[in-house]
Amino acid sequence: MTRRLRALNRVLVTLETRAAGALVISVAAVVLLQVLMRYLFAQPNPWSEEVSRFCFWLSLLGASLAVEKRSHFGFDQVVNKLAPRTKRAVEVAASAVVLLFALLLIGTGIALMDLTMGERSAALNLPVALVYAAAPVSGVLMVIHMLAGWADVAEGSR
Amino acid sequence: MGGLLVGIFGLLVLAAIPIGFALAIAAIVAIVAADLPLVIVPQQIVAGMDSFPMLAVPLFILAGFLMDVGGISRRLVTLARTLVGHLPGGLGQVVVMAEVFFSGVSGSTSADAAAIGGIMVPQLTANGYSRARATAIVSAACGMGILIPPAIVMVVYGVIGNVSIGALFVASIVPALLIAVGLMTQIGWQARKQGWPAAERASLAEVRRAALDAVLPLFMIVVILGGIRFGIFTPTEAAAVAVAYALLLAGPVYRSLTVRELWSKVVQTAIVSGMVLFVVGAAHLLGWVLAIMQAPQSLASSVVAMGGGPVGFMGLTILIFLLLGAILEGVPAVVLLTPILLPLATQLGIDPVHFGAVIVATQGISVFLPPVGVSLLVACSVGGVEPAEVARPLWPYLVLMLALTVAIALVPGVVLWLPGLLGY
Repeated sequence: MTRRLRALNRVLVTLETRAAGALVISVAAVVLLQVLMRYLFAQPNPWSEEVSRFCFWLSLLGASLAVEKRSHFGFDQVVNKLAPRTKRAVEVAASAVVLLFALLLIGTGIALMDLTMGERSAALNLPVALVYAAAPVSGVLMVIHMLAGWADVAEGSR
Repeated sequence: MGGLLVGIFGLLVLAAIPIGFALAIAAIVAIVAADLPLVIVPQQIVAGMDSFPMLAVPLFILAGFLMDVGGISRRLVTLARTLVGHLPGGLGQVVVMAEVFFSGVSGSTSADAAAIGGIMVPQLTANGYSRARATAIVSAACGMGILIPPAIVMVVYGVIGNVSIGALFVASIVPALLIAVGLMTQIGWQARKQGWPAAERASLAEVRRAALDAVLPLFMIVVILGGIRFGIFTPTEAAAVAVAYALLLAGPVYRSLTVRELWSKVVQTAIVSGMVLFVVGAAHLLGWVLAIMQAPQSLASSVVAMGGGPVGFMGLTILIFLLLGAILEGVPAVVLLTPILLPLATQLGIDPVHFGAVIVATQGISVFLPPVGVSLLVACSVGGVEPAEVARPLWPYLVLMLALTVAIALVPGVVLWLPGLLGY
């Protein structure tokens, strides 16, 4: 079970990394294209401003990758001073709280997609729900990263 | 309720829950307590990230990472050494000057600390500086460097406060140089008193060669600031142009960027942007909740009741950002407090650009504040010392920086002169 979970996590991290990297490159390319279009062809690009909406995907994929890499900004100096046992208990409680948040992000994200199902974006005519889909997707990714992280810890302490 | 929220948030942060999550969870508690729909959570997080100007954040991060590879930081250090290396405490002064140059091409303090510290700490220690002293100098320099445009906090402040990002970039140049000169003078004075070594004076030919070597990287500052000022492009577009420029330099010009390295920088950009923007979104959510609870109004009225006028208000702002920035990192503090404090500042007749420069300068000090400042920890891991050891040599620099920040807060002309001159 834990082996499968960790294998799944590895595959997801690879996919996530590629998708997030591709988004960074496309954001840079689209914004650059907007400048070039304006000066070379004297033609403003109507849809490039809308790209910022899909940047939400970049932020949330980056955020879930940061969960995997444990690189989110945090303040661990108090916890690090605790006795090992208390420290362990606080860490477990803290990750349970973050897990609850990720679950809530999944549920509310789906609800929000439901609410906006009919709407389409002005320039690209894409469903707005596609933007909000980033919330449940990154919620699921965060949950899997955290569970896999726990599996690693359990393995290590055994 | 407001106090309760602050308490919950504080508890979560102390339990080492990442800042972004702590902000969001505090907001969720309030939403549940007020019986509001939870759909607000993803909606307001998106609303906080969803703006074209905010796209400048990932792009400036990427440009900075690309500038870091390709030996650009080394070229800038060499230029600084030929210029000031022969002065008393020369190598220490080189750190400050190199950071002035490097920060102009990079947008993030931690990247600066890693790049400049990585090159300079070994050189300083080889020349008789202690590790703690070397790390302290790098920290002070990077705290100053936050004021050199482009800086991510300025972009965030500009977007949230609806203040011209171009004006903010230009406005922080004079304060940055003031603090840089202050630090270099202080280092020179310490060096003379304690007999630190200096390097040999570089010949004119060496200076010329180093300057020629650094001219292409430094020209990027001109492209960014000039392009924004003359309306050639918006700050976000300037950031994309900076990415293209850095890519050209590191790739075809200096031939030091492999495809593999480029991809790793792109992925690193995605992660760092995710960290920064998630905090922005979560802080936006909490800000929305606080606004519903009318917390800003009640805070505003209590601040007004305290009196003190613009001067007292500036002092209070510096104090708040000093404390919050040390624990929170600068970005979340700016996202949370700008909507509350900026309207008060404008009411008191403080210019939003001036206010922004003071906040950013304060943040430069707070992220290096011992023992907890986030960037101090990065600098310490680069320098290979404990924060407790760095504190002693670092305090005098931080005190000087704080004194200069207070001076900048009291004399708006220092900040507003250059943007005025350039027609902002």
